[in-house]
Amino acid sequence: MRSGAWRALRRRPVFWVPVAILVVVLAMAVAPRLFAGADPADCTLDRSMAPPSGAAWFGYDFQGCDVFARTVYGTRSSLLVGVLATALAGLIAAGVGMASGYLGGWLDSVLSRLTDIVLGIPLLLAAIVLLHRATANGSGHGIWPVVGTLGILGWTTAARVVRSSVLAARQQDYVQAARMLGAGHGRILVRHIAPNAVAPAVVVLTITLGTFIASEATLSFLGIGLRAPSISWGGDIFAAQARLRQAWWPLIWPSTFLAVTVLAFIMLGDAIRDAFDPRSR
Amino acid sequence: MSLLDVTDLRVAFGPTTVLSGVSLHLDPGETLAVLGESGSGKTVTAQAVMGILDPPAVVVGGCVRYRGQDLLTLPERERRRIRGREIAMVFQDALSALNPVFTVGYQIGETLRIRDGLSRREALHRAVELMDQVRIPAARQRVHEYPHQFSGGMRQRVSIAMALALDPAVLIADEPTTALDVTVQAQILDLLGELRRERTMALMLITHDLGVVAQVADRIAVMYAGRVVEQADVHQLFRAPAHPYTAALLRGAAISGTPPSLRDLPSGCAFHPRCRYAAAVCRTVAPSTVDLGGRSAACHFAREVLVDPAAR
Amino acid sequence: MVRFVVRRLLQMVIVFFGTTLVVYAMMFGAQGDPIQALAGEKPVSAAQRAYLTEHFHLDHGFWYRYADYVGGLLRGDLGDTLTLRPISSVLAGAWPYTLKLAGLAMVVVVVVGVGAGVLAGVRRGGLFDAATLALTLVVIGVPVVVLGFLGQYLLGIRLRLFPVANEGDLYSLILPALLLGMLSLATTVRLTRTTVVENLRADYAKTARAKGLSRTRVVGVHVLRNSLIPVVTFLGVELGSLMAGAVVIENIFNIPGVGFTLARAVRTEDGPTVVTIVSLLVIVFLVVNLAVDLLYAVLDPRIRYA
Repeated sequence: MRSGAWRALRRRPVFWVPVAILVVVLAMAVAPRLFAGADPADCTLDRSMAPPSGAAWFGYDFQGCDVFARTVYGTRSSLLVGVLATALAGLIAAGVGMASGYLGGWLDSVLSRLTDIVLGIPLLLAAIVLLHRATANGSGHGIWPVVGTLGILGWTTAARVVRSSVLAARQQDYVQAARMLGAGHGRILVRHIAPNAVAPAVVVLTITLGTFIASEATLSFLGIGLRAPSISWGGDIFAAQARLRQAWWPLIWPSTFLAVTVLAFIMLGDAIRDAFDPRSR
Repeated sequence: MSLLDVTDLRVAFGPTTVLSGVSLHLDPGETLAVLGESGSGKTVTAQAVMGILDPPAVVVGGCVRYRGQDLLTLPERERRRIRGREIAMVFQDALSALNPVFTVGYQIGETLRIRDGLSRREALHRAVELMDQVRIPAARQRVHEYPHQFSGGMRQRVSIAMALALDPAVLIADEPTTALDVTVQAQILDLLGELRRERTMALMLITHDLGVVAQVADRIAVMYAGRVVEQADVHQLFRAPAHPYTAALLRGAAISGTPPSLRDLPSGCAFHPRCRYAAAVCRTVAPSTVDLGGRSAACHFAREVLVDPAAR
Repeated sequence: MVRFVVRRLLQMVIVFFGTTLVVYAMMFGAQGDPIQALAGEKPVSAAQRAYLTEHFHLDHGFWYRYADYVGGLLRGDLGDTLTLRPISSVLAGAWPYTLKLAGLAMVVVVVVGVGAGVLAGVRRGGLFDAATLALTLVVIGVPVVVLGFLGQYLLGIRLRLFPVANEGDLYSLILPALLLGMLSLATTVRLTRTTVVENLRADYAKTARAKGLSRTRVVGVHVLRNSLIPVVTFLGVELGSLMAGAVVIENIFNIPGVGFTLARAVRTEDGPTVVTIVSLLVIVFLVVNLAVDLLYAVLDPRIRYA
């Protein structure tokens, strides 16, 4: 069945288009120098708000920095936050989901209620509180507070998916058989149950990655995400907004990059889900 | 002239032909049983007659005459007038056939309000009467309940009451008892028979159950792979079948081979791979319907089968 | 029905304490100096420190403080901001804006979303269906921040169709509400389309047609009533992202609503105000979802009589 899903994926443009986009985005994050000739830190006020020209196709922002260079260099922090936060959320989701689904009993009840409660609090609102706390305690403005906050809050949907996959797998005959043969809990979980939860969890986490990148931008926009000297799309969008009437170009490029990247992740998640579950089409 | 006359009805499901020329007729006040295994095209025939096929299923040929008028050429608006008032239908699974979010009273009275202009009160009153007629106890109270609050048999009675609301001349019942317990099945069949007699309504009963047929039918149309292969009076048919498929059904023995896939029908006569009488001609030429005097069968050897004592 | 309501109310009580506890613990739980948590990075004088300690019972344990805080919330006492203004009076001026904004956005989502979804579902595979599908996919992917600015720039600054900042009247709220509703709108359209397509195939839709009802009535009464059940549930949950979106949109358009107040509290590092506003929003969210659950029971009799 899994190879069937892969075969279905390979033929669909809704899979390849986001993959292509994400490869480019990833390359930008790893080696921004290849894409932007200018130095994002090379800013002089005498070319503040200079419109797009032959020298700088995307123009300069208020500080006189090259908009394109800043946008390209901003890819790294946006992507890094998204990937790391998703990894953290995935770890928590795997732990909670597997414990809940495999061990069951009162632990399952407690964890499920906890999941419900965290899921019930809108992500952005909770992130505001947590990040406020983190910055107040002097944890700085690097990527770590943002990564931690999003990871701690964003694991719920994935955990539910893992739990239900584990519950379904636990009932399977081959798992019962493995238990009869005296396989330990650890072995059963890793060899027989976890593989079933991977595909649905990947789907949810891909989409989560997209929303995390969008959330980071929103938090930076509100002034509690990444701050200078980190270059991030959200921060640049916030800076450009104040002078939107005079110049649109400092706003357009980080916005476009942000939207396209988020869209690519969501499309990718959708495509994978469709491949695994043809009914949802 | 018959009340309902279906001639050479053809329905395609995309590239797949599901009905390849169905012909049958229904006379006023009689009960016609349409008998066949699942996939033989019984339900598609019924829905094509009603005009409620869902795409991609489309009628590609033939005609459906009601009192001499071809329904297939009527504009949708005219066609809708026939539905419910002239020809009504009862479905197999009453639970899914009834809308879960409206009370049964609302659903029975709905056609009366929309099409006869009855007020809410009048429609409700009439719904109670109809529920009484289909022998639902405590109709006055239960009219305000929802489908899921009824038992399977009662739910099917609600469906029947709904179909009878506009007093149709033809009632098509598509496997109305298949989803029910055996004891309840008999009650519903009895009810249908009584209602037909009381209202001099014609009943087209679709079923795969020979027992049902013997119990209530006047005539039988046997379907196989999208065709009517035999049509006869119930006594004639049980006494001496004219089609090898009918003969096999009556013997009650398992028929060798599997039902054909409509996507890949055998050449010639669709039944030939499973037929004891099959000859070379059956593999190449599709049999036409042979008139046997008041009955008919679509078989190259219909006359031989009819007199074959081994077929009985 | 009574049992259903009682059960939901009991669940709601548990969730209320759970969520307020989580929010409160996020602010004050675990290690760290609670005064710094409240006041952020600003230096705190000894007098202030003493006052805050007394005012927020910082000399007591976490559970005592939580109980005090929830007790206040339940009595309708929201406490004071760091500058010692009552939070309730700060919010009194802000609520109407946010309510109007969210209300307008919800109207857009319901009217346009359900309408377009039904149309796309009925004409499945047609041009309208394909166009909405493509459009919604794009809109779903665009973050509120981007959507907000794009809309403000294109419709407000370029085309001058709408005012770009709040002028106090309802008209100046239309553009922000439109943009706020856009995200939920896309999902609503897709969800409505899916359920309409499913319900059109349902047996009861066939029955309705066999009764001789017009297509308008089959779709508009029978199919729509059933399709609305999942859509209503979704809209209740979606209110959460609508509130988060309002924080962003109110800041983009300078609307002095609750979200604007929240963002200002974040910037001025006013801890008590942040916690209180977030708690309030979460409570509103819970109450709306309770209402949605009850509405769900009204829409679906199978639940009402379960």
